[in-house]
Amino acid sequence: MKKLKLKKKNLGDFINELTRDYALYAPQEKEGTISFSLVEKPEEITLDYHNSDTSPKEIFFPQKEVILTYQDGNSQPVFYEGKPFALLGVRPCDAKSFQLLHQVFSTKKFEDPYWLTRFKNALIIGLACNDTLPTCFCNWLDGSPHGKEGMDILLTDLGETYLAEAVTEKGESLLKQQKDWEEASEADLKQASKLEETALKSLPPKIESAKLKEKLDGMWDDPLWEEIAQRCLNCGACAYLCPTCHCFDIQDEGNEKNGKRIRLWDCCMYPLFTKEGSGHNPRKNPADRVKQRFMHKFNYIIQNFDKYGCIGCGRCITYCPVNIDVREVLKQILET
Amino acid sequence: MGTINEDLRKQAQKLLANKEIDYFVGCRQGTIPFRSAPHAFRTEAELDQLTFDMTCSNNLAQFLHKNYKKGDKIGIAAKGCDARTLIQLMAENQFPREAIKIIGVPCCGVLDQKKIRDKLGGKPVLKYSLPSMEEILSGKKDTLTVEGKDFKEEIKLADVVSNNCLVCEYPSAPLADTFIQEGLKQEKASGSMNWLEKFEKMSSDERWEYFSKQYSKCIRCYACRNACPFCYCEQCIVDDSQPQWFGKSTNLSDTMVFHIIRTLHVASRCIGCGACTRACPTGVDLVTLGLYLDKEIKERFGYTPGLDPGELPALCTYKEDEKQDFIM
Repeated sequence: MKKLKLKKKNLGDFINELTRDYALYAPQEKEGTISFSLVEKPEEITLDYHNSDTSPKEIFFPQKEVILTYQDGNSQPVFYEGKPFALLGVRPCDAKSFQLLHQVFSTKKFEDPYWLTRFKNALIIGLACNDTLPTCFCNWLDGSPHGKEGMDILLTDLGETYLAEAVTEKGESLLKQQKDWEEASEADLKQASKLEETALKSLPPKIESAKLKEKLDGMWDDPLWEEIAQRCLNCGACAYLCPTCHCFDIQDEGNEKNGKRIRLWDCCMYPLFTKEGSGHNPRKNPADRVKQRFMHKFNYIIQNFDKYGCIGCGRCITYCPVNIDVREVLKQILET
Repeated sequence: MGTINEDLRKQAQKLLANKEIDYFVGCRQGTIPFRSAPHAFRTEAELDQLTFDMTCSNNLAQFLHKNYKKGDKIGIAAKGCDARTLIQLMAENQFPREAIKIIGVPCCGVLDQKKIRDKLGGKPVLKYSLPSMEEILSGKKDTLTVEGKDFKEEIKLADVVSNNCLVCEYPSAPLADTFIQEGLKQEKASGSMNWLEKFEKMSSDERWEYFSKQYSKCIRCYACRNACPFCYCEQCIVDDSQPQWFGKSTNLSDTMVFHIIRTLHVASRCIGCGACTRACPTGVDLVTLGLYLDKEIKERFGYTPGLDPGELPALCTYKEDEKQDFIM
């Protein structure tokens, strides 16, 4: 696979090139919040960042998506029809989350056409983490600050230049078109692996994550859930910032003659999430909802998809108003 | 007399040892900078983790109320806003006065994580040191030090304290069973009202623009509602489905209706603790409108919530002699 060097001063040209063929999304700061937004001008983007506050999953799985319109008895599904998406500057943990979401939305039994339409032709250009955050723990969950999973190209910041490594055929063919980018030298690759080593060292010491699933098998009635629920606000800040949470609700807006059907993010922390038509709620107790969150990520998803349901980005740790730190919870699970 | 924290632990220990309470509500140090975790301390052994400083930014009365069961006896370390919340909740018949042992703590405001982050341009803080509460309260120190990968900076506390604390009129519990270090009690926040005055001077178009910008950041996670001690409806209006009163999307029309309804619903009950704003992951300014309504209610009805457990909120009651000039 190709390994080239992109001079930082030429990044603008590359971005302009991408915007011709793709709907390009990259980290941008607005009102103090960094999110992946549609790039109109190269100078709007910031690659000198730790991670976005909101997760880039919202591009392929928007918080609100009209999936169908109906009028006078006729209905019409609505699919994304714009240019294919390109994401630039995706951190390795978030790129990994796309792989999990893709598995969830394209099982043998069900294929989600809305996810697939947006995701299938997307180009993912990742950006390695040379500088991790104190809340990062991707190394606990099969991830790495320089991980390539889920990317077409991985960029590594080498100071004046980015090392650009092709990961997939798609990435390779894009790099092949870059006639004026230099080949990366041995020294560049050495520098990149040194940066990776440093980044890995800055992460917290690993735990025995492989044992989590089995431990949780026996924790259905554990008092831990009640203990966490005491302070958990049962809000959705963790789930709505989480790159792997993917639950949704479907609602109709309009009247009996015409309107639209929309899909909206939903969250297992909300009491309404499991409330049934009869009025019965199987997860009425907040502790049951707390349990669901951790069971889903560290037991059910592992069982169903052979992957962790968490990628260790640490957004929930940063933003939980009552300091529910998933790393602490995982340690508590292992100690049980 | 020891430090504030030593005295606080001693008080809590005494209450637990004498079986005057079932548990003590306070904060323990969090796992990341500037966050603390509300906690129910049930044993004396746990109490060495009990701590009070400017990172204790949650409304502990919300924690207490959420976990309160009839018959419980609970002790609590209460800042001015925590105590006012308790008083207000008592006025709303949520628990009897005798169920709660209020230990007042001297407060000089709590830190706003987002302000610190903005100040540092997003650079992560690896280590920080706060002066002791005694040093801050007595005016000897007014900065905190933050350290990251290749920086070390001093930040003025006044620049990173929560907005609502800047205009707080009751930093100390108006009602308490015991007060820790009464000598350090603050009477009124020394911060400036500039920011609220700036808002008052805005034209209605400017206000509309300001709040549109704020509410468009909302991701409907309901952290504000759930952190609010006065949002305790068994079923919130946004969770009604038959009928569903308004949409659940992040469209501005939906988020704005949600926030305005919520603000109106807690008007004359909101004591301006700012927990909503601090809980918001996207930095929506929720407290300004609340504080502004508070001010209006004070002017119109001469009522301030959270001072008298025997008095109903202004908008929940009617007095014959109150101003009626708004009725045409």
